[in-house]
Amino acid sequence: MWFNSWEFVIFLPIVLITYYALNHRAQNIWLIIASYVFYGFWDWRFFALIAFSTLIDFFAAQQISDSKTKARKKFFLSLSLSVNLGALAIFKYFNFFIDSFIEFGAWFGLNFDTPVMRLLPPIGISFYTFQTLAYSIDVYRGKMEASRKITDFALYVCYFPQLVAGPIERAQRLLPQIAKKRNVSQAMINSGCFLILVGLFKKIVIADNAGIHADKVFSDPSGATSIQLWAGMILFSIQIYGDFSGYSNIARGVSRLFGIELIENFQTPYFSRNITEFWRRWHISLSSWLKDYLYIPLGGNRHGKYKTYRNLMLTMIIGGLWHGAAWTFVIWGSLHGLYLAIHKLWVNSNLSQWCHKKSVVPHWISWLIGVMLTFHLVAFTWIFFRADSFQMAWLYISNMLSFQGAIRLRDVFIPALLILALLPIEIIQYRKTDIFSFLKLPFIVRTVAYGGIIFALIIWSGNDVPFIYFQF
Amino acid sequence: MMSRLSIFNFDTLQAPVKSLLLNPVVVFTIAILLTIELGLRFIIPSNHVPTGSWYNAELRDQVDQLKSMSHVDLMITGSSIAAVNLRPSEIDSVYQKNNIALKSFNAGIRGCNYTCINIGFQKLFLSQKEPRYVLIVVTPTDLNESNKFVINRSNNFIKSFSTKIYVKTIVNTLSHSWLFGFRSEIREYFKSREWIYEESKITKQGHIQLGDKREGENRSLRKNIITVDPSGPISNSLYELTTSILSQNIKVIVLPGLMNSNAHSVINESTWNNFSIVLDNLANNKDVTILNANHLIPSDENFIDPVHLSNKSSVNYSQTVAEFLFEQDLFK
Repeated sequence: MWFNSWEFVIFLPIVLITYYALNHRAQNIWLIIASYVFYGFWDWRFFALIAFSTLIDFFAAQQISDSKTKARKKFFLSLSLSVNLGALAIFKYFNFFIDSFIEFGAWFGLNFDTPVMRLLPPIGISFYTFQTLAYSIDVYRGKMEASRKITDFALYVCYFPQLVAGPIERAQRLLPQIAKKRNVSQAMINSGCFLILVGLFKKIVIADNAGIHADKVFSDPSGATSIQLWAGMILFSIQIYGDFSGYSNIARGVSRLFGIELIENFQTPYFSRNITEFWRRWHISLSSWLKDYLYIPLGGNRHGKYKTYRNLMLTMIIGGLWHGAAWTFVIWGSLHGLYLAIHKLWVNSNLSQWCHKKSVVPHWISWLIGVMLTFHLVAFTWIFFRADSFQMAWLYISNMLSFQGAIRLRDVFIPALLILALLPIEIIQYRKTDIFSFLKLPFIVRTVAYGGIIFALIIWSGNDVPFIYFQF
Repeated sequence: MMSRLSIFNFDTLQAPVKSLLLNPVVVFTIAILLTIELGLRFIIPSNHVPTGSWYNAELRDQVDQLKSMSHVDLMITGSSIAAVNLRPSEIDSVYQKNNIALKSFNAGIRGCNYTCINIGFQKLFLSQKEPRYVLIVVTPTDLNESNKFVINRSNNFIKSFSTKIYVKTIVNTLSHSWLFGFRSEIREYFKSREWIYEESKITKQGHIQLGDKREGENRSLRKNIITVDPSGPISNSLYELTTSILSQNIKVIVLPGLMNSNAHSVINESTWNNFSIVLDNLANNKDVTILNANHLIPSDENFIDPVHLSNKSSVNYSQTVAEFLFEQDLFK
């Protein structure tokens, strides 16, 4: 069941109305049932996996919390990590490693007749696994107490607005909200509905339309002109942002209707002046997870610059692999790791500090150059993210950089139009640093904007295009 | 007072429903949308009908016509080549002249290949009425594995056939609003600045009438763009459809290859050979009759485009085919 499907149009009001009629204890049980139904629309067979993961982490965390000795705590943490990472390894990465092993052997003329087990990865496994991992680690680190109520914890794991594509919520934020009685004010309903509308607009009007044109170019890069390939790259950048930030907006909006606040996952990332800032604004719940549970434990920037670069590279490569079991994602992650390392090198250089002190160029020019450069560097990495194979990505890039073929206005018209449609929302959010500042705009502006958004949603509705990040 | 043990209370919702619904922004947004709706009702021609959950209005009309029939003896299926060129009323009258009461219906689906016809015919038509015979009209263009446009359009048709009942209900209800019901046409208008509405061209008993205008006469069929794969997905759909019809104890007659000489000549030899293999595979089934009716194909001036006959020619062709079927001792 997608957020942009007719099923969800029926599902949400039923869940919501029943929810408002229940007391707190029953609400949590109702939300667990609703979440399992939501998940079951894809494949009910994966219920068992979520339930198993929930039970293991619930009991492991209690044991970690209650254990007197460090060794015992470590044992239960290892149990939790092995179960979660084991499921991820089997369902998501097993085929990838086996295929890579066979290919590697083939390079040396070795033919491995390896048994193949083709498993369908459960939807959203990467998201809920990271969420439960963070919980066990936080309990182990003593940052929080283990949950003592199985219903609270089960809801934390399966809460449907963020179950299949995040945001990856920390237990310290979400569990207390689940545990306590919730109130839903008019302001929460207004802001929740606003987020749902904006999210649907980003998904249905922006991302799906950008996707139609991007798909055409990516399906046959050899038949496209350079300008079409450049446009395709930008269109996919718009598509993935509209798709994923749209999803996150809807998730947050729906959650607000239940009185639960989810983390903001995107803060106008394409207005970032550098790649470090980009990762503070893009998929915030994942980037902060990677920082807290991978980059810092690896040593962060505490052991000299070379180890810092190594840690950045490792973190981003694993971040790439988290998205999907393919070498193209590894390259995508590596490029981001490289960008981050180069940016760190630049920031620490004397030249950068001199430029900063002397204000060589006016602020707005440096801002514009920074934003444009960062956007295009990020857009370049999306080619690997979108391409089906490394060969295809290479073909795409080489044709794009060959600067061949006619330059036609219509090739850049669609990206320009979609950027223009997206810009007002982005500018308001960027300038006010808060998307809800839209709700303080004059009455007439809001009314026209809502009318326009709903009109566009009606016109472009009915395609039911899945969200890209559901596959991760 | 609620019992202390009750799981119900309404404490969570702090906002009064009335104030949510009567919020000025909500009221004025609804007013804007209503104004657009009213405006559309003035602008859009009154004979244009919102399609709702159907892929197009024509298909809905066709199904409605079938539903209104008491029974059907012969159902014709295929693409527009079947739907346009064979008039059930003419077939029936030929049989009537020979004192045989035959009721036929044309269930050809315009714009589809056999992956779509397979599903559409079974779901929309065969599920309504059970005929004694099904006449399958097939040409290499209906089995073309290279035409991405038709493949995509067929997939869209299939999507609309398999819409779940609750989704159909929502979409059909919402389609009472012209803003929603004409969303595809409005969307296309923004792209092309043209109001493109696919009018239903159904006449009676499922027949589709394209007219006499030779708009597509010069539509060129490029050489080698039609490929038929006897074991490809589209051919497999045709086999599946045939087997499924036969499993319901309905006899199948196959009428192959209706097209003008230009269309015939641009199809290369290997495609014709593959098409013959498909026909042979169909003939392997018991109760399937393959008609050798190439000599009945009218001359080129009867066609308005490579595969469709003009109104008058379709009357003549339908009568000729009916007489031929009668001579073959079919449907008696």
